[in-house]
Amino acid sequence: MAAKTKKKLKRKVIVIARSGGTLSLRQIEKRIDAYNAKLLKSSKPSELADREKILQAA
Amino acid sequence: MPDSVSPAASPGYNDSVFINCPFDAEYQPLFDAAVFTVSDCGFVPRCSLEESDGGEPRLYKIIRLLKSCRYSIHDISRTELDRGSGLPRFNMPLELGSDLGLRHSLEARWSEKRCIVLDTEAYRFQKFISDIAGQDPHAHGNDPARLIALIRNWLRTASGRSTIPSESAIGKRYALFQKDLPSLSDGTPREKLPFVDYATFAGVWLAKAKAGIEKPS
Repeated sequence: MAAKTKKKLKRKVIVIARSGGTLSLRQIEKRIDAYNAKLLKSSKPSELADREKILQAA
Repeated sequence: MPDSVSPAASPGYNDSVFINCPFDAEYQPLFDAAVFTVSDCGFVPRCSLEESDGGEPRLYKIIRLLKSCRYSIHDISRTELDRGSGLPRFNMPLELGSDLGLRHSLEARWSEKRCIVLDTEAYRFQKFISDIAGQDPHAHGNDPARLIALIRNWLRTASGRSTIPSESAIGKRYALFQKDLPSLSDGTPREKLPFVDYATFAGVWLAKAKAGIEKPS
């Protein structure tokens, strides 16, 4: 994903996070990073490839 | 993803989609699918649950939100008789009417507002709001997959954006997100997760997913 698009998405996300909720944006990011790291460790390469294919589908 | 974001960042009018729908438990699967789809299409989902200012009348808050969103989704499928009072529930049509009033007001800046009216069955709404007969019926039949397709196709047409993913891609990502969410929210039941947290989980998850699986920094 282009850096510009990532930055734009991030900006949209922070807007939501600023307006309330019980978790901070940073907490949510950390949880997702930790979950993704766990997936990387515990999943088979074929499972990761399938997941990546779904995530990147246009 | 960069850690520092300008505190001045605010949702753009052209990127904001107001979701006017019921918030009951029965509607939750449809609401979740709608929020996710709006995010996956590159827009910001907004709804009256995002703020809790008890001092501001609910309708004023909704009108303020309508003014900050170019796009609106109005689901009037729960316009039905209340079991207790026997009277119809008209909040959703009232909010739809406020949006249409804004769009057709004399202020030209609102003329570009776009909305979609959703219901369970096609043409049902014409029986209780006949004045909007002529609007294309969009029936989701209480099916989240159908709702995803309706919202996706409408956003594609209304915005003209070619970057909007296919219905199939959104559906598959949504299924994956639903599978991941209980772990991400640390076991918090969905009904206990506020809209803001749910929408932020969806937005961040999608941003990271589209950037590719990567090790945390």
